[in-house]
Amino acid sequence: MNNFYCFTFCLRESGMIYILLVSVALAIICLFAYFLKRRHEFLLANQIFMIWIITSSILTMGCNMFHLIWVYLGIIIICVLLLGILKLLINLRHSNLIISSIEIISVLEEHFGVTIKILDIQRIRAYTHRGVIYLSIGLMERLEPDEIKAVVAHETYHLRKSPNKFISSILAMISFTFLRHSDEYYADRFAAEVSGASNLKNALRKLDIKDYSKRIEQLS
Amino acid sequence: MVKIERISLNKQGLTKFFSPNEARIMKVLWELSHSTSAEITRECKDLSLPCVAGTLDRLVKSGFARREIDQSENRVRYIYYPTGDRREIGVKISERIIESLIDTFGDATIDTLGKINGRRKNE
Ligand SMILES: [Zn+2]
Repeated sequence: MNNFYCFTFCLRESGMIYILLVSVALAIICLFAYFLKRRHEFLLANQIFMIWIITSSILTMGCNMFHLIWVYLGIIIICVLLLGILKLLINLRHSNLIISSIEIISVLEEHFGVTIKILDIQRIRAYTHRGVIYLSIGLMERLEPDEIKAVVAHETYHLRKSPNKFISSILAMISFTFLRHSDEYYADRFAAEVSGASNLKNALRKLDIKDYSKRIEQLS
Repeated sequence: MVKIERISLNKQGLTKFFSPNEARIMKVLWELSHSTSAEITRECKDLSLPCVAGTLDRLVKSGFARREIDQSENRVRYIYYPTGDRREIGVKISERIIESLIDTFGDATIDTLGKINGRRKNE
């Protein structure tokens, strides 16, 4: 209890309590806005408010709890290191799987203005990483050219519009909030617009993507 | 080098050294000499494409099949080949097993092989 009294006392003394209360309110508003509008900017704002609330309350307390700053800094450093190591491992795993370019892919690269790399694996994979779209041969051999185009369109949306995964995961970890929800719905809608809804639907079905029936439903 | 995941001496034919799906797919590969995952799925009607693709992947990793990337007809796909005919694969599996037996039992295995060979010559 001592700590709790000290906590509120220090905050009141410094006049920070009002600023913090406003920040908490704003963070909650951002969270609601995010759930209503599904725009990741709101989640980003919420995470920044959370980080601000945590750091400023630690800094203003000052009553023998100063070491908390170091604990929090430690958490930040560990988060960055962990995610950095993870990213490095992913990069290393990639480097020996990529094969030289393929003709039908260069047409898509030109059409969407993106770089596409081919993974020499039988498993089904399609994702973006460091501004590059990766597709596996296992995926391409199951789809018709128009369906591959739909997949590339979907990934192009992620590349252009989706927030940086690395930064958002660090922000989520150090603000003790959650990761952004992926904007699969918007990516699907974009893909349906540029390459035809039926092509995207067929691709989702053939690849047996998780929740594909729900995603197909949302498109119609 | 070929990798044998398991040996089940109580099973029949190729399934002593391969899973039932692997054995069926190896037979198709020997029959057609090369094939795509879609073609094999057509041959083995009760297997799904993901199952065939996964099994082919395992056969490549264990050294019984290899694959090349084919870009004809404006599509991309793998073409799978067996790494040897039935006899050649038989030689590879025998080598692996005998080496492993010698590794464990030494002279006992070599003597036994000599005896079996002698018996076969007499027959
Ligand atoms: Zn996506």
